[in-house]
Amino acid sequence: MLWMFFLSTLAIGSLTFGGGYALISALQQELVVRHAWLTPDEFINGVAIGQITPGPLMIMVSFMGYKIAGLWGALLGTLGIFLPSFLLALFLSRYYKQAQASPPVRAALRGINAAVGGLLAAAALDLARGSLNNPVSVAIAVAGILLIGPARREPIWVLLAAGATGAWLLR
Amino acid sequence: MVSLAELALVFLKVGALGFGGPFALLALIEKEVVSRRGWLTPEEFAQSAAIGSLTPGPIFFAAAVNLGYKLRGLAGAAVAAAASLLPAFAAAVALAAVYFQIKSLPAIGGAAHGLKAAVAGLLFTVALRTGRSLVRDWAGAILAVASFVFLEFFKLNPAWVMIIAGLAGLLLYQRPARTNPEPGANGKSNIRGESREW
Repeated sequence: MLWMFFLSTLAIGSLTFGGGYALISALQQELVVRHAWLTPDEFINGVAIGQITPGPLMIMVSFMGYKIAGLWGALLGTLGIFLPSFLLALFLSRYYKQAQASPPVRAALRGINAAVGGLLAAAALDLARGSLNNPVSVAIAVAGILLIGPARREPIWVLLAAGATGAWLLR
Repeated sequence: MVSLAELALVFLKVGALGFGGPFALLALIEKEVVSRRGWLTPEEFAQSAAIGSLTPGPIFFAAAVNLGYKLRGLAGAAVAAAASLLPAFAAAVALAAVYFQIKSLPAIGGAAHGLKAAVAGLLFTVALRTGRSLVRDWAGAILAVASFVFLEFFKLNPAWVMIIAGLAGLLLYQRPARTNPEPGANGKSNIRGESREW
């Protein structure tokens, strides 16, 4: 079963482009509907855990793996889900150095660079919409902008202070 | 040369503080690797983000692998990958282990909420500054706005946005370029290679 679970996560990890939310339905299909390793309730709890832990939503696979087969399940599931991304990124990184010398590739990259600017802006707006739904959160975000931007404070302390404030006022 | 220990430390930090989704993680990496330490230029960072969006899985993860590879080769890629996931993995396993005893974890939920709000603020500053150094001309500005609109309002997959932007770049920039060095687009940051030519 451990081996089957690993193969499932490997397959899902190589197909889900576009981040964690694309992953949810694929995982549910595989783990809940097809193999019935998790109940629908456990699955939803796993998604919630993925959201309250730091890092990618995909880490919910660690939680689900733990329920399926303990620590080894958590390890292998995480490995399986991230391995395809790791290998492809490595491959692209290696190939990229040579490709970068050619003028068409450089022209294409100039276009891509500009689009990344748009991507970051869309991300800021998305996140703001999802999290700034009460006065305390808005105040934290504004304080964060001022402290990290003009005041040039170290982000790690600002974020830790924000977490403490949230734990205190937003429970 | 960046040491592997330093690399691990940076990505552990990013992994531990990265609340608020894949783009927030990307912004944290930018803050640490580009604007704070100057290990990479904004262009190199943007290319890592592009590679990230062309691979399956979270964008930040593949970007971290690419950054690690650029800085320290294969070992750097492995260290960046493992370090960026370790905090989340440890948290998920610990929560799984205690989950049945404590049904709800309100304080953790509140802390995650506060962090998310601050990360939204951080992302705003990063988008502003990175955008200023990545968008160098009118065509670039139009591309940036178009990618924003398609991602935000049409929910287009980032991989498609990157592919289309690449094709647009091919059409727009491949002619014998009139070079405009754009002085001082980003005067106050300490990014190395700021005046590098394309």
